[in-house]
Amino acid sequence: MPKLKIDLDACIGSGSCVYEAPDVFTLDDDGMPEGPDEVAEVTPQLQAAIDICPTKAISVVD
Amino acid sequence: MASGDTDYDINLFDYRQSHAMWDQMAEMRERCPVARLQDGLKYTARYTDVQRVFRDSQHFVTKGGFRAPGVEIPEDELLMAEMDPPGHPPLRKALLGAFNIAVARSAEEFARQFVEGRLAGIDAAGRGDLVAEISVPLPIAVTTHVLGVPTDDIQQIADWVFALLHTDWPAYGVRDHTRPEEHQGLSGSAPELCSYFDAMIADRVDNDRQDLISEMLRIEVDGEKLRHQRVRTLALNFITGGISTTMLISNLLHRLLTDDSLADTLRRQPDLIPVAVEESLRVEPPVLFLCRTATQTTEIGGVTIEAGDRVVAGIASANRDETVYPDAATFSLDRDHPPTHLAFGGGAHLCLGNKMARMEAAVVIETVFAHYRPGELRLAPDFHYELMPHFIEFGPERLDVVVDR
Repeated sequence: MPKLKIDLDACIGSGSCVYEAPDVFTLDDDGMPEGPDEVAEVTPQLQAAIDICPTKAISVVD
Repeated sequence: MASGDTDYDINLFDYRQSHAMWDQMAEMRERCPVARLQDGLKYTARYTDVQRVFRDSQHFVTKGGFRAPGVEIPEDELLMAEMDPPGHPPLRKALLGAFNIAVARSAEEFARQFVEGRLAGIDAAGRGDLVAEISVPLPIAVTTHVLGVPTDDIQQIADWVFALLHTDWPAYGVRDHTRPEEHQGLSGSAPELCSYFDAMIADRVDNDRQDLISEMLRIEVDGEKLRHQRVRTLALNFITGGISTTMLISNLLHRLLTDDSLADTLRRQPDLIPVAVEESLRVEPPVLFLCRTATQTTEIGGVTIEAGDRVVAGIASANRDETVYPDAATFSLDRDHPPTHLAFGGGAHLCLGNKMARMEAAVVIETVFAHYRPGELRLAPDFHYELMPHFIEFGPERLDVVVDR
Protein backbone atom coordinates (compact mmCIF):
# COMPACT_ATOMS: atom_id res chain seq x y z
CA MET A 1 0.00 0.00 0.00
CA PRO A 2 1.21 3.58 -0.67
CA LYS A 3 2.90 5.24 2.29
CA LEU A 4 1.55 8.60 3.45
CA LYS A 5 4.09 11.18 4.63
CA ILE A 6 3.28 14.42 6.44
CA ASP A 7 6.31 16.68 6.82
CA LEU A 8 5.50 18.28 10.17
CA ASP A 9 8.57 20.53 9.91
CA ALA A 10 7.06 22.10 6.80
CA CYS A 11 3.41 22.06 7.94
CA ILE A 12 2.06 25.47 8.99
CA GLY A 13 -1.23 24.25 10.40
CA SER A 14 -3.53 25.65 7.71
CA GLY A 15 -5.92 22.74 8.18
CA SER A 16 -6.41 22.53 4.41
CA CYS A 17 -5.82 18.77 4.25
CA VAL A 18 -8.54 18.16 6.80
CA TYR A 19 -11.02 20.18 4.76
CA GLU A 20 -10.13 18.28 1.58
CA ALA A 21 -9.80 14.75 2.92
CA PRO A 22 -11.49 14.45 6.32
CA ASP A 23 -11.49 10.66 5.98
CA VAL A 24 -7.69 10.66 5.91
CA PHE A 25 -6.57 13.54 8.12
CA THR A 26 -7.52 14.78 11.57
CA LEU A 27 -6.09 17.63 13.65
CA ASP A 28 -4.41 17.09 16.99
CA ASP A 29 -4.84 19.46 19.96
CA ASP A 30 -2.14 21.78 18.62
CA GLY A 31 -3.89 22.09 15.26
CA MET A 32 -1.37 19.89 13.46
CA PRO A 33 -2.50 17.10 11.11
CA GLU A 34 -2.40 13.40 11.82
CA GLY A 35 -2.95 10.63 9.31
CA PRO A 36 -2.38 6.91 8.78
CA ASP A 37 1.06 5.59 7.82
CA GLU A 38 -0.43 3.92 4.76
CA VAL A 39 -3.43 4.49 2.52
CA ALA A 40 -5.27 1.94 0.36
CA GLU A 41 -5.34 4.30 -2.60
CA VAL A 42 -4.85 7.93 -3.54
CA THR A 43 -8.44 9.09 -3.70
CA PRO A 44 -9.37 12.33 -5.49
CA GLN A 45 -9.86 13.87 -2.03
CA LEU A 46 -6.37 12.88 -0.91
CA GLN A 47 -4.87 14.16 -4.16
CA ALA A 48 -6.70 17.46 -3.63
CA ALA A 49 -5.23 17.68 -0.12
CA ILE A 50 -1.73 17.06 -1.50
CA ASP A 51 -2.20 19.71 -4.20
CA ILE A 52 -3.76 22.39 -2.00
CA CYS A 53 -1.28 22.17 0.93
CA PRO A 54 0.34 25.64 1.04
CA THR A 55 3.78 24.25 1.93
CA LYS A 56 3.56 20.97 -0.04
CA ALA A 57 4.05 19.05 3.19
CA ILE A 58 2.09 15.95 2.16
CA SER A 59 3.39 13.22 -0.12
CA VAL A 60 2.59 9.63 -1.02
CA VAL A 61 5.27 7.12 -1.97
CA ASP A 62 4.60 3.65 -3.38
CA MET B 1 -28.55 44.65 -10.33
CA ALA B 2 -26.66 47.52 -11.88
CA SER B 3 -25.41 47.52 -15.44
CA GLY B 4 -22.07 48.39 -17.03
CA ASP B 5 -18.87 47.98 -15.00
CA THR B 6 -20.51 46.54 -11.90
CA ASP B 7 -23.00 43.77 -11.23
CA TYR B 8 -23.86 45.40 -7.90
CA ASP B 9 -23.22 49.06 -7.18
CA ILE B 10 -21.82 48.33 -3.71
CA ASN B 11 -18.88 50.07 -1.99
CA LEU B 12 -17.52 47.44 0.43
CA PHE B 13 -15.44 50.04 2.27
CA ASP B 14 -18.58 51.89 3.43
CA TYR B 15 -19.93 50.13 6.52
CA ARG B 16 -23.49 51.26 5.78
CA GLN B 17 -23.29 49.14 2.64
CA SER B 18 -21.08 46.25 3.77
CA HIS B 19 -23.32 45.67 6.82
CA ALA B 20 -26.54 45.65 4.82
CA MET B 21 -26.00 43.37 1.83
CA TRP B 22 -27.45 40.08 3.12
CA ASP B 23 -30.21 40.03 0.48
CA GLN B 24 -27.75 40.80 -2.30
CA MET B 25 -25.45 38.01 -1.06
CA ALA B 26 -28.28 35.50 -1.34
CA GLU B 27 -29.00 36.71 -4.87
CA MET B 28 -25.30 36.47 -5.80
CA ARG B 29 -25.05 32.89 -4.52
CA GLU B 30 -28.02 32.06 -6.69
CA ARG B 31 -27.29 33.94 -9.89
CA CYS B 32 -23.98 35.84 -9.82
CA PRO B 33 -21.40 33.88 -7.79
CA VAL B 34 -18.52 36.20 -8.70
CA ALA B 35 -20.00 39.69 -8.56
CA ARG B 36 -18.25 42.82 -9.79
CA LEU B 37 -18.55 45.56 -7.15
CA GLN B 38 -17.22 49.12 -7.00
CA ASP B 39 -13.45 49.69 -7.33
CA GLY B 40 -13.12 46.64 -9.60
CA LEU B 41 -13.48 44.21 -6.69
CA LYS B 42 -14.72 40.72 -7.57
CA TYR B 43 -16.80 39.31 -4.70
CA THR B 44 -17.02 35.53 -4.35
CA ALA B 45 -20.31 34.57 -2.72
CA ARG B 46 -20.45 30.76 -2.65
CA TYR B 47 -18.90 28.61 0.09
CA THR B 48 -16.78 26.45 -2.23
CA ASP B 49 -15.42 29.46 -4.12
CA VAL B 50 -14.55 31.41 -0.98
CA GLN B 51 -12.82 28.36 0.45
CA ARG B 52 -10.83 28.03 -2.79
CA VAL B 53 -9.72 31.70 -2.69
CA PHE B 54 -8.40 31.20 0.86
CA ARG B 55 -6.56 27.98 0.15
CA ASP B 56 -5.26 28.41 -3.39
CA SER B 57 -2.10 30.35 -2.54
CA GLN B 58 -0.72 29.64 -6.00
CA HIS B 59 -3.31 31.90 -7.66
CA PHE B 60 -4.19 34.25 -4.80
CA VAL B 61 -1.80 36.25 -2.61
CA THR B 62 -2.41 38.64 0.27
CA LYS B 63 0.09 41.36 -0.69
CA GLY B 64 -1.37 44.83 -0.35
CA GLY B 65 -4.39 43.20 1.30
CA PHE B 66 -6.14 46.04 3.10
CA ARG B 67 -3.73 48.95 2.60
CA ALA B 68 -4.60 51.92 0.44
CA PRO B 69 -3.34 51.57 -3.18
CA GLY B 70 0.36 52.27 -3.64
CA VAL B 71 1.26 52.19 0.06
CA GLU B 72 4.60 50.45 0.73
CA ILE B 73 5.20 49.02 4.21
CA PRO B 74 8.75 48.18 5.44
CA GLU B 75 9.36 44.41 5.58
CA ASP B 76 9.59 44.24 9.38
CA GLU B 77 6.36 46.19 9.83
CA LEU B 78 4.22 43.92 7.65
CA LEU B 79 1.41 42.17 9.49
CA MET B 80 1.11 38.40 9.17
CA ALA B 81 -2.06 38.81 7.10
CA GLU B 82 -0.20 40.76 4.38
CA MET B 83 2.85 38.49 4.08
CA ASP B 84 3.32 35.90 1.33
CA PRO B 85 5.86 33.15 0.60
CA PRO B 86 8.76 32.79 0.96
CA GLY B 87 8.77 34.85 4.18
CA HIS B 88 5.38 33.89 5.58
CA PRO B 89 5.37 30.06 5.95
CA PRO B 90 8.51 29.65 8.11
CA LEU B 91 7.54 32.59 10.32
CA ARG B 92 4.02 31.21 10.78
CA LYS B 93 5.49 27.81 11.52
CA ALA B 94 7.71 29.23 14.25
CA LEU B 95 4.85 31.22 15.76
CA LEU B 96 2.54 28.21 15.91
CA GLY B 97 4.92 26.71 18.45
CA ALA B 98 5.40 29.98 20.28
CA PHE B 99 1.64 30.31 20.77
CA ASN B 100 1.66 27.29 23.04
CA ILE B 101 3.20 29.63 25.57
CA ALA B 102 -0.34 30.99 26.01
CA VAL B 103 -1.27 27.75 27.73
CA ALA B 104 1.72 28.03 30.00
CA ARG B 105 0.66 31.54 30.92
CA SER B 106 -2.70 30.25 32.18
CA ALA B 107 -4.56 32.48 29.74
CA GLU B 108 -7.89 30.82 30.48
CA GLU B 109 -7.71 31.35 34.22
CA PHE B 110 -6.52 34.93 33.65
CA ALA B 111 -9.49 35.55 31.33
CA ARG B 112 -11.96 34.15 33.86
CA GLN B 113 -10.66 36.39 36.64
CA PHE B 114 -10.67 39.40 34.34
CA VAL B 115 -14.34 38.85 33.43
CA GLU B 116 -15.25 38.24 37.10
CA GLY B 117 -13.66 41.57 37.99
CA ARG B 118 -15.57 43.43 35.30
CA LEU B 119 -18.89 41.86 36.31
CA ALA B 120 -18.27 42.91 39.92
CA GLY B 121 -17.88 46.48 38.64
CA ILE B 122 -21.16 46.26 36.72
CA ASP B 123 -22.90 44.91 39.85
CA ALA B 124 -21.63 47.81 41.92
CA ALA B 125 -23.01 50.33 39.42
CA GLY B 126 -26.19 48.33 38.81
CA ARG B 127 -25.70 48.83 35.08
CA GLY B 128 -23.03 48.98 32.41
CA ASP B 129 -22.08 48.48 28.77
CA LEU B 130 -20.84 44.93 28.20
CA VAL B 131 -19.01 45.96 25.02
CA ALA B 132 -16.94 48.61 26.79
CA GLU B 133 -16.54 46.60 30.00
CA ILE B 134 -15.80 43.13 28.60
CA SER B 135 -15.76 42.63 24.81
CA VAL B 136 -13.25 45.38 24.04
CA PRO B 137 -10.79 45.02 26.94
CA LEU B 138 -10.78 41.21 27.41
CA PRO B 139 -8.95 40.22 24.19
CA ILE B 140 -6.40 43.02 24.68
CA ALA B 141 -5.88 42.00 28.32
CA VAL B 142 -5.43 38.31 27.53
CA THR B 143 -3.03 38.93 24.63
CA THR B 144 -0.91 41.45 26.52
CA HIS B 145 -0.83 39.10 29.51
CA VAL B 146 0.43 36.29 27.28
CA LEU B 147 3.03 38.64 25.79
CA GLY B 148 4.26 39.34 29.31
CA VAL B 149 2.89 42.82 30.06
CA PRO B 150 2.35 43.34 33.81
CA THR B 151 -1.36 43.55 34.74
CA ASP B 152 -1.03 47.16 35.93
CA ASP B 153 0.15 48.31 32.48
CA ILE B 154 -2.59 46.63 30.45
CA GLN B 155 -5.02 49.58 30.46
CA GLN B 156 -2.29 51.93 29.25
CA ILE B 157 -1.43 49.55 26.39
CA ALA B 158 -5.11 49.27 25.49
CA ASP B 159 -5.42 53.08 25.32
CA TRP B 160 -2.37 53.38 23.07
CA VAL B 161 -3.58 50.61 20.77
CA PHE B 162 -6.99 52.26 20.55
CA ALA B 163 -5.32 55.56 19.59
CA LEU B 164 -3.19 53.80 16.95
CA LEU B 165 -6.27 52.28 15.34
CA HIS B 166 -7.72 55.78 14.99
CA THR B 167 -4.69 57.05 13.06
CA ASP B 168 -4.12 56.53 9.32
CA TRP B 169 -1.53 53.84 10.08
CA PRO B 170 -3.75 50.79 9.38
CA ALA B 171 -4.51 51.95 5.82
CA TYR B 172 -1.50 54.15 4.98
CA GLY B 173 1.41 53.16 7.25
CA VAL B 174 1.76 56.79 8.50
CA ARG B 175 -0.02 58.67 11.28
CA ASP B 176 -1.58 61.31 8.99
CA HIS B 177 -1.71 60.54 5.29
CA THR B 178 -2.19 64.21 4.40
CA ARG B 179 1.28 64.80 5.88
CA PRO B 180 3.11 61.64 4.77
CA GLU B 181 6.61 63.00 5.53
CA GLU B 182 5.89 63.20 9.28
CA HIS B 183 5.29 60.39 11.79
CA GLN B 184 6.15 57.54 9.46
CA GLY B 185 5.68 53.85 10.16
CA LEU B 186 4.67 52.23 13.38
CA SER B 187 7.12 54.11 15.58
CA GLY B 188 5.99 57.45 14.13
CA SER B 189 2.32 56.58 14.45
CA ALA B 190 2.45 55.15 17.97
CA PRO B 191 5.71 56.34 19.62
CA GLU B 192 4.83 55.54 23.26
CA LEU B 193 3.52 52.09 22.39
CA CYS B 194 6.66 51.28 20.39
CA SER B 195 8.95 52.59 23.13
CA TYR B 196 7.14 50.42 25.66
CA PHE B 197 7.62 47.25 23.64
CA ASP B 198 11.18 48.20 22.63
CA ALA B 199 12.05 48.47 26.33
CA MET B 200 10.30 45.19 27.09
CA ILE B 201 12.16 43.44 24.26
CA ALA B 202 15.50 44.86 25.44
CA ASP B 203 14.72 43.62 28.96
CA ARG B 204 13.87 40.10 27.73
CA VAL B 205 17.16 39.89 25.81
CA ASP B 206 18.88 39.96 29.22
CA ASN B 207 16.15 38.34 31.33
CA ASP B 208 14.45 35.37 29.73
CA ARG B 209 10.88 35.04 31.06
CA GLN B 210 8.12 32.56 30.46
CA ASP B 211 6.25 34.87 28.09
CA LEU B 212 5.56 35.27 24.40
CA ILE B 213 8.06 38.13 23.92
CA SER B 214 10.86 35.91 25.30
CA GLU B 215 9.64 33.05 23.15
CA MET B 216 9.66 35.17 19.99
CA LEU B 217 13.23 36.27 20.75
CA ARG B 218 14.23 32.61 21.02
CA ILE B 219 12.75 31.30 17.78
CA GLU B 220 14.81 31.04 14.64
CA VAL B 221 13.57 31.25 11.07
CA ASP B 222 15.96 29.77 8.51
CA GLY B 223 18.73 29.85 11.12
CA GLU B 224 18.26 33.51 12.01
CA LYS B 225 16.68 35.10 15.06
CA LEU B 226 13.81 37.51 14.48
CA ARG B 227 14.82 41.17 14.33
CA HIS B 228 13.58 43.21 17.31
CA GLN B 229 11.50 45.43 15.03
CA ARG B 230 9.75 42.30 13.74
CA VAL B 231 9.04 41.09 17.29
CA ARG B 232 7.52 44.50 18.11
CA THR B 233 5.32 44.40 15.00
CA LEU B 234 4.16 40.88 15.86
CA ALA B 235 3.29 41.90 19.41
CA LEU B 236 1.06 44.68 18.06
CA ASN B 237 -0.27 42.35 15.36
CA PHE B 238 -1.50 39.92 18.01
CA ILE B 239 -3.09 42.69 20.09
CA THR B 240 -4.93 44.29 17.16
CA GLY B 241 -5.96 40.84 15.89
CA GLY B 242 -8.04 40.53 19.04
CA ILE B 243 -10.50 43.14 17.78
CA SER B 244 -12.37 40.43 15.93
CA THR B 245 -12.68 38.49 19.19
CA THR B 246 -14.36 41.61 20.60
CA MET B 247 -17.03 41.23 17.91
CA LEU B 248 -17.46 37.50 18.59
CA ILE B 249 -17.99 38.08 22.31
CA SER B 250 -20.45 40.94 21.70
CA ASN B 251 -22.45 38.96 19.13
CA LEU B 252 -22.74 36.01 21.50
CA LEU B 253 -23.70 38.14 24.51
CA HIS B 254 -26.34 39.94 22.47
CA ARG B 255 -27.84 36.65 21.36
CA LEU B 256 -27.92 35.29 24.93
CA LEU B 257 -29.56 38.49 26.20
CA THR B 258 -32.27 38.31 23.54
CA ASP B 259 -32.93 34.55 23.39
CA ASP B 260 -33.97 33.14 26.79
CA SER B 261 -34.50 29.62 25.47
CA LEU B 262 -30.96 29.51 24.06
CA ALA B 263 -29.59 30.77 27.39
CA ASP B 264 -31.61 28.11 29.27
CA THR B 265 -30.35 25.34 27.00
CA LEU B 266 -26.71 26.38 27.44
CA ARG B 267 -27.08 26.67 31.21
CA ARG B 268 -28.51 23.15 31.35
CA GLN B 269 -26.01 21.71 28.82
CA PRO B 270 -22.75 23.65 29.14
CA ASP B 271 -21.06 21.17 26.80
CA LEU B 272 -23.04 22.91 24.03
CA ILE B 273 -21.29 26.25 24.68
CA PRO B 274 -18.52 25.52 22.12
CA VAL B 275 -21.25 24.63 19.60
CA ALA B 276 -22.90 28.00 20.26
CA VAL B 277 -19.54 29.74 19.74
CA GLU B 278 -19.12 28.07 16.33
CA GLU B 279 -22.68 28.85 15.30
CA SER B 280 -22.21 32.52 16.25
CA LEU B 281 -19.03 32.62 14.15
CA ARG B 282 -20.97 31.15 11.25
CA VAL B 283 -24.13 33.27 11.33
CA GLU B 284 -22.48 36.53 12.41
CA PRO B 285 -18.82 36.31 11.40
CA PRO B 286 -16.77 39.06 13.11
CA VAL B 287 -14.85 39.64 9.85
CA LEU B 288 -17.30 39.93 6.95
CA PHE B 289 -14.80 39.52 4.11
CA LEU B 290 -11.08 39.54 3.24
CA CYS B 291 -9.24 40.53 0.05
CA ARG B 292 -6.73 38.68 -2.09
CA THR B 293 -4.96 39.53 -5.36
CA ALA B 294 -4.82 37.11 -8.30
CA THR B 295 -1.26 36.32 -9.46
CA GLN B 296 -2.26 34.83 -12.81
CA THR B 297 -5.30 34.30 -14.96
CA THR B 298 -7.64 31.71 -13.53
CA GLU B 299 -11.31 30.89 -13.26
CA ILE B 300 -13.77 30.81 -10.36
CA GLY B 301 -17.30 29.51 -10.69
CA GLY B 302 -17.15 29.86 -14.47
CA VAL B 303 -15.93 33.47 -14.33
CA THR B 304 -12.49 34.49 -15.62
CA ILE B 305 -10.21 36.18 -13.10
CA GLU B 306 -7.35 38.18 -14.63
CA ALA B 307 -3.89 38.50 -13.12
CA GLY B 308 -3.92 41.51 -10.80
CA ASP B 309 -7.66 41.36 -10.08
CA ARG B 310 -8.61 42.02 -6.46
CA VAL B 311 -10.79 39.16 -5.34
CA VAL B 312 -12.95 39.35 -2.20
CA ALA B 313 -13.48 36.21 -0.14
CA GLY B 314 -17.08 36.74 0.96
CA ILE B 315 -16.97 35.10 4.39
CA ALA B 316 -20.41 36.32 5.49
CA SER B 317 -22.03 35.03 2.30
CA ALA B 318 -20.20 31.68 2.33
CA ASN B 319 -21.27 31.06 5.93
CA ARG B 320 -24.93 31.42 4.90
CA ASP B 321 -24.72 29.29 1.75
CA GLU B 322 -27.93 27.24 1.80
CA THR B 323 -26.35 24.46 -0.24
CA VAL B 324 -23.95 23.89 2.67
CA TYR B 325 -26.06 24.95 5.68
CA PRO B 326 -29.82 24.30 5.34
CA ASP B 327 -31.88 27.16 6.81
CA ALA B 328 -28.58 29.03 6.88
CA ALA B 329 -29.75 32.31 8.43
CA THR B 330 -31.05 30.49 11.51
CA PHE B 331 -28.86 30.09 14.60
CA SER B 332 -29.16 26.42 15.53
CA LEU B 333 -27.39 24.13 18.00
CA ASP B 334 -28.81 21.09 16.21
CA ARG B 335 -26.74 21.03 13.03
CA ASP B 336 -25.29 17.58 12.40
CA HIS B 337 -21.53 17.90 11.77
CA PRO B 338 -21.78 21.10 9.73
CA PRO B 339 -18.80 21.87 7.47
CA THR B 340 -16.36 24.26 9.14
CA HIS B 341 -17.45 27.88 8.77
CA LEU B 342 -14.99 30.30 7.17
CA ALA B 343 -15.01 32.96 9.92
CA PHE B 344 -11.30 32.34 10.63
CA GLY B 345 -10.39 32.29 6.93
CA GLY B 346 -8.52 29.23 5.76
CA GLY B 347 -5.36 27.98 4.15
CA ALA B 348 -1.95 29.45 4.88
CA HIS B 349 -3.45 32.42 6.75
CA LEU B 350 -5.99 30.57 8.90
CA CYS B 351 -6.33 32.81 11.98
CA LEU B 352 -3.41 32.07 14.31
CA GLY B 353 -5.45 33.22 17.30
CA ASN B 354 -8.50 31.03 16.63
CA LYS B 355 -8.00 28.92 19.75
CA MET B 356 -7.58 32.00 21.93
CA ALA B 357 -10.71 33.57 20.44
CA ARG B 358 -12.79 30.45 21.04
CA MET B 359 -11.46 30.13 24.58
CA GLU B 360 -12.24 33.75 25.45
CA ALA B 361 -15.78 33.54 24.07
CA ALA B 362 -16.54 30.35 26.01
CA VAL B 363 -15.08 31.79 29.21
CA VAL B 364 -17.29 34.88 28.95
CA ILE B 365 -20.46 32.77 28.66
CA GLU B 366 -19.44 30.41 31.45
CA THR B 367 -18.52 33.26 33.77
CA VAL B 368 -21.72 35.21 33.11
CA PHE B 369 -23.78 32.06 33.81
CA ALA B 370 -21.87 31.38 37.03
CA HIS B 371 -22.21 35.00 38.16
CA TYR B 372 -25.91 35.65 37.44
CA ARG B 373 -29.06 33.60 37.86
CA PRO B 374 -31.40 33.51 34.84
CA GLY B 375 -32.94 36.93 34.23
CA GLU B 376 -30.68 38.87 36.60
CA LEU B 377 -28.67 40.47 33.79
CA ARG B 378 -30.92 42.11 31.20
CA LEU B 379 -30.64 44.56 28.32
CA ALA B 380 -31.47 48.07 29.49
CA PRO B 381 -35.05 49.16 28.62
CA ASP B 382 -33.72 51.99 26.45
CA PHE B 383 -31.16 49.78 24.67
CA HIS B 384 -31.04 50.30 20.91
CA TYR B 385 -29.09 47.86 18.70
CA GLU B 386 -26.50 49.54 16.51
CA LEU B 387 -23.50 48.07 14.72
CA MET B 388 -19.97 49.38 15.17
CA PRO B 389 -19.26 51.71 12.24
CA HIS B 390 -16.51 49.56 10.74
CA PHE B 391 -16.67 48.29 7.15
CA ILE B 392 -15.09 44.88 7.72
CA GLU B 393 -16.03 44.02 11.32
CA PHE B 394 -19.53 42.96 12.39
CA GLY B 395 -20.76 43.42 15.96
CA PRO B 396 -22.81 45.75 18.17
CA GLU B 397 -21.49 49.17 19.20
CA ARG B 398 -22.88 48.87 22.75
CA LEU B 399 -24.70 46.38 24.98
CA ASP B 400 -26.29 48.41 27.77
CA VAL B 401 -27.41 46.12 30.58
CA VAL B 402 -29.04 46.46 33.99
CA VAL B 403 -28.56 44.13 36.95
CA ASP B 404 -31.81 43.12 38.62
CA ARG B 405 -31.33 41.25 41.90
